[in-house]
Amino acid sequence: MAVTSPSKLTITKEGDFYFTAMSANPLQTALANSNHLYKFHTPNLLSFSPLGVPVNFAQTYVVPVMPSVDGLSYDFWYSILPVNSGTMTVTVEANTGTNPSGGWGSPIYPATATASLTANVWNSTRHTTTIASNVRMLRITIGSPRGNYTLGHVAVQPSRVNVTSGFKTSGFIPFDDSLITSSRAAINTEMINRCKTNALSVLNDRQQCLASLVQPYVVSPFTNGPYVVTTPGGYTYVANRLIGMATAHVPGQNKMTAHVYCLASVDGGSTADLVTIWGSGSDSVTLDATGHLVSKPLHLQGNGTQTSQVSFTVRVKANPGQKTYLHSLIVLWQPGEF
Amino acid sequence: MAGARIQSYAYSEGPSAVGAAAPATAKYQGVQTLAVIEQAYPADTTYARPSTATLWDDLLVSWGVSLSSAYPMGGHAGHYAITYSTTTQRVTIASTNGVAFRPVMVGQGNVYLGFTQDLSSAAGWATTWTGASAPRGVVELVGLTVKPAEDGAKVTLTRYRHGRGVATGWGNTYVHHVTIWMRAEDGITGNLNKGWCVTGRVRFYQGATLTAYSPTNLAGYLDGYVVNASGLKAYGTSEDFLTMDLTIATGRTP
Amino acid sequence: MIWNALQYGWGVNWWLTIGGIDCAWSEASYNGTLPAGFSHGLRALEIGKSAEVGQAVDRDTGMGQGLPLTFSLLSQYGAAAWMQAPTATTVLTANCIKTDGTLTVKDTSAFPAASYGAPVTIYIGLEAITYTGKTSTTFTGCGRGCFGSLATAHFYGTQGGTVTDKPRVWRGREIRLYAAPVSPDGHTTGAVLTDESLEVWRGFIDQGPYRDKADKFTIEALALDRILTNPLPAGLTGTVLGLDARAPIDPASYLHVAVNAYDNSSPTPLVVTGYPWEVLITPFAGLAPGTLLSLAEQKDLIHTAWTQALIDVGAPAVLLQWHDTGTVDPSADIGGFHSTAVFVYPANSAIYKTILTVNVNGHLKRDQFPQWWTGGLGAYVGGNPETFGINWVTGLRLLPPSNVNFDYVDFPYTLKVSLDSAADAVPAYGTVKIGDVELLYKSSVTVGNVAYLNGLSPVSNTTGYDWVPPNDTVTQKASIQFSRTGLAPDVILHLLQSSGGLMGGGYWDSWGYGEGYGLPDSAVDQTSMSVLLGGIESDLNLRVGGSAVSLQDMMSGMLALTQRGLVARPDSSGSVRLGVVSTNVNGSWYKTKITDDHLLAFNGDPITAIRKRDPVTQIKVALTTDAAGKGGSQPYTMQETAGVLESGGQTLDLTLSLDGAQAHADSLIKIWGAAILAQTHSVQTVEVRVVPWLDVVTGDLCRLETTHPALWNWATATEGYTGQARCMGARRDLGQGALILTLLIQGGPTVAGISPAAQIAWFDSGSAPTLVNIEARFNAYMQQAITENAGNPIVLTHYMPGYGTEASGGYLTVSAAALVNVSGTDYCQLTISSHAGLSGSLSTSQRSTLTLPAGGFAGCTDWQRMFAHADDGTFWG
Repeated sequence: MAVTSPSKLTITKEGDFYFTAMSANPLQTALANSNHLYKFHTPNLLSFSPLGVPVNFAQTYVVPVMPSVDGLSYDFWYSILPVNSGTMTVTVEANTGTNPSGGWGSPIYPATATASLTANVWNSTRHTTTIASNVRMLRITIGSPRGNYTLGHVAVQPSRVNVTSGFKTSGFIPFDDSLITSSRAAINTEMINRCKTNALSVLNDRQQCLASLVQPYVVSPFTNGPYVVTTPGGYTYVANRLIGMATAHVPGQNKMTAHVYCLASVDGGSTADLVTIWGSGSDSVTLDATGHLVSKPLHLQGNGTQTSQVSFTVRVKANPGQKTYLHSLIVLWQPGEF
Repeated sequence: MAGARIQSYAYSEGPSAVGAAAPATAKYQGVQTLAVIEQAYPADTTYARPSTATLWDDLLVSWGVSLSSAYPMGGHAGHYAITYSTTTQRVTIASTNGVAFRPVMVGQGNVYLGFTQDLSSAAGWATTWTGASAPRGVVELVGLTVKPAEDGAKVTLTRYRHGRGVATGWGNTYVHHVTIWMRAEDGITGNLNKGWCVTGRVRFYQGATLTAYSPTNLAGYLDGYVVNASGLKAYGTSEDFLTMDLTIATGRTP
Repeated sequence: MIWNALQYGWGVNWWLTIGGIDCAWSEASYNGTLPAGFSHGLRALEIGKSAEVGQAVDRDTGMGQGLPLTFSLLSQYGAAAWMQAPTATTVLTANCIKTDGTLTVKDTSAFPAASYGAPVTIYIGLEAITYTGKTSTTFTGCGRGCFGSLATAHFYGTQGGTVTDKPRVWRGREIRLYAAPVSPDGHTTGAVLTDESLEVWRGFIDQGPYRDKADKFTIEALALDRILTNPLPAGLTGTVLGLDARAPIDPASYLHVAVNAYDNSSPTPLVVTGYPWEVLITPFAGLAPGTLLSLAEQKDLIHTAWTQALIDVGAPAVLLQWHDTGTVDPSADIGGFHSTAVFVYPANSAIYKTILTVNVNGHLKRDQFPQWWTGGLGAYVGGNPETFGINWVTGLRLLPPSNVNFDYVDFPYTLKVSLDSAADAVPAYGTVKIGDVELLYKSSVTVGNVAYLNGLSPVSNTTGYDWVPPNDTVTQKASIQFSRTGLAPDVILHLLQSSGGLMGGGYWDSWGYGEGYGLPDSAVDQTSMSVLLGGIESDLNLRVGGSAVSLQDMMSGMLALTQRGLVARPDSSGSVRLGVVSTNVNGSWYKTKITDDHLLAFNGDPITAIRKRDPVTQIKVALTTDAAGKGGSQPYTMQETAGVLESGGQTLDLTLSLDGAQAHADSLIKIWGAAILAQTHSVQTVEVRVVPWLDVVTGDLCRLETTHPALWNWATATEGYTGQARCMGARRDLGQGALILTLLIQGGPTVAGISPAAQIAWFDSGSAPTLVNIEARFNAYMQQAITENAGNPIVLTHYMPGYGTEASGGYLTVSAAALVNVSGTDYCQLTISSHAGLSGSLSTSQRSTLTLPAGGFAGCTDWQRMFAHADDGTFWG
């Protein structure tokens, strides 16, 4: 009489769909499997290794996100390598708009001390926070260091919580076994269709991060750093500098459409078409460095096999006399229909 | 009030609307439609038609009820009763509240009800109309004999002719062999040849008993389907009597 | 319904029409008017008393098998007047299409005059045509396709172009048989003969009419679905005559050359007197559009026209010559040539600047700008010849019918084939086999008995033209076949109705002549194709084609594998049409219930079990993926091992032809095969004789409830059968009207249809509803459920998917269902007479859904229990 969240998928043999022994219950199994999917399909919404060198001050990262429409709670994982032991603080703020200079509101995860970190090893620390469905940017601040530290990796993924009753905004209808298990209950078309729509809802709702490139968030003027792009002196051409490459494994995929979210700014001059991303099988896509969040679709091509991959290349350009700074670039993808 | 007789069923599929809403003819328009035009409303014709196949007695009653219930619609004012007299062998269509009208017969209705006189507009208006000859939908018999039921499992499906008509007889039922006797009057032979009473579903009344035939009610009526009919045969040397053998099939379930 | 009335003494009068013959043939005379368009009626029909008409469908081939019909036309009632050879004959002198109102013939003198009020009938092939006027060589005001015949194109110069005043051929004419009601007193009903008639059989004359027993003419006809075994064009064969690239020309092509000369006036130079000088040629004028010319022929015509134009224009002040360098420029488009023209300016000191312009249109293409000068030259010394060169490209073009811009595609070779027989059936797109090599061609033009095929490529390259002929191609034998692709419902409809626009017409007549049977819309139930084949089968792209193949050859594998059949049967439209039916016994919603009261004792048992063959234990599907029928993978063999070990391999061999490898074909074929194997053990065929007034046709799902001892129910150890039955064949004894059904019943495990679930669209009160709206498509189901419950209300369960314990949603008692229209959308409106246990209330935002109550619940009717419920032993759980 409950909404179950099975911890494993159960595979029903094909023959059990034709000659059904009374215990095989193939439809019930398929519906329970869709509940399992809701709880356990938790691809990374964000996964980035920020560029930068070890520092001993707080750093802030502003990254674009497209969270689930169901307002799920997310696990945030951080990998930190400090030189000295002790606690640090983590703060997460959310923004529903596209302008990082304002609209942040109260933190969704106020500054909280981590557990005490062990020196000179990679420490993993996590917290769980709900991200509302209309959030478009997160501002993550790592602070209160005890000395130099390196933030190695940040991952954000939906938490694995039991399925609750009530159909979800994403279109998922949780399976409550009381109807089908009551004696001689009708097996109806809605239940059978629900297997497919549930699977599609979950897959489409949970965006997956294919590629990322994130730097600490600073505002103009930018100090010259390895990834601040400027025009080299003495040349008349305009610099279009490769600053990142990545490969994403996309088994089984052929044509795909992903979305690029980009936050970049300049210290002056034209902002148009300064960030270029190319994915294999696609034309390259250029984005403006307006300092606000911009996004564009990116059409990619895999080869349809289990080892299918797509590669990305990111280049940043600066016009003469300006510096261009790429704060973050995230490629998110929703699986298409099968 | 009546002796041995055969009553026919008239096939009807409706539409069963009455009054002006009912169309003039229906699909399979045989004898199932009766209409009236009232003197006060000469432009309106009111039609009555049952929605299922109906036995002769019930058909007359059903028409009366339908035509009466059309009041008050479109100014129609009459209440009607259609009756049949076994002694005179005539059908009477009468207005029970004295409204002058004229009956209109559709399809073969005039022959079925025995109205062989002219009923066109020249016939005038009256409050009661009586058929000029014996109706074909019912046949008065001198008597009939019904043999006990036989198992009809081996009855052959046949198609047989009678006069101009061709009918299908069948049976997976109990079968009774029925012989009927009639007086050799003109109307009788004509009636039988018209076919309504010797094809398809019919009801044989042995006498006044209005309940069904059974081993404990041997005088009851027999309701069934004609599977086969022999031709008319003369009975005896006087040629006053005619006889015909029929095979009737009735349903198995009680 | 006409068969219902038989119980009440009504009889049936059989009548039929023969396509193209202006007569309705009936068993008995009748009142009422003739069917529209007919002017004669004779009661000369005699149908054999032992004849049976009907249809059946074969599970293993997916094809209908209509029974033949034999009937006679009696001389004494006027049939003899029709059995006469033509007395006036002529022939067509021009082709005509199916809509032409004027026919051109050799000589009309032998035919009578006609007028608008008194048309006269002539016959060409199977078509009857009426004319209202004539000249010495034409018939005018023609009405086409009269008296039930099909308007068709006719070709002169063939046997089919003969025009006669009496029907010359009978074989192939369409027979349509109807049953008309006759009342117990022998009267017919209905104002027009067709009003209350029911079409029972449809087919084509196969034999006859032939003289029979000194007083009648007998005709034997085959059913409409027999046509499905007729082969489509019998592989046209011919000999390859040449490979020269040829293309159709456009007679409006032109070339325009203009020479202008300017002085040195300032600021604007002025035209020098005597200029501009122009030449315009139209080298292909006078030829018929679409005439095929080789490259050499086109070049020749251009050269001739150009030279002549120069002579005609005869300007002594300028001199042009035409030097044809005659090389085929390999860098330019194939099929072009380079030429040079020489232009000599006369001595004229006023000329400072000259401009030459060249324009082409139509099928000439200028590929390279000629050389010319710009800018001033100063005083020009005349007499020096100036040269400009042009690459003429008279490329060979594909002329797709829809492309009016004559887009330009090059074919290096055109296969010229001299055909062995009349060339009116060369498919527009197909394959040609030369020796062992099979090629795809993408366009064809036919002139007389010669076919020109363009766009040649290996079969797998559907967009290329990259075939290189081997040296000995000319003089080889070639055979031409058609090749098409598409989804199953589309392919079947095309195959049934295509005729190149020459015959049946309609939306599906878009393939070429010879690529389909040319049936009209009235013979095809198009809706059933998309409804029954538009599901999972719509994901597979099929390839059909070949030579001398019938629809059965091409489609029976697909139909048998998906448990469907194509059969001509009386359907809901009131006529007999070819439609797709299901050939398994799955489903719960039946159309008619057959009970003991309907069984007909008829010289024996009304129910006979038929054991035709042992169950299938092996299915072999041979998969082909190209037009040649090759290229597929190894055949799939699916087998039910236990069955093979016990009883040997009873194999069902099927062929499926797909358009290239399709990844999901694998899983689909295995699923279908498994479904057949799962059922084959447990279904049984019985023949049941029932009363004529049951409304059952081939393909219907019925419910058979009988206690007849011929069937034994192992589950309950009782005689009889209660369950679903699929009608695989229905035939009627014409003499007595008995209906004999071949039913497929479930033997072992029963299969039930999934219970319906209807989402509520609207309700009048959430906590105490009296009216609830659901989708219109449930209306017939709800009404049937109430009817089956003897008119009493039925109970439906309410639940909200995803909300809480779905079991406690309550029950609604439904007393009536009717279609209503709210703001342009139809809904089924349920009248709720009571409700129980509605916790909370109905809600559309929470998707309140109605479904069937639990099978053990008192409110669940027998009819509702037939649908799938949990824990019923043989259903899904």
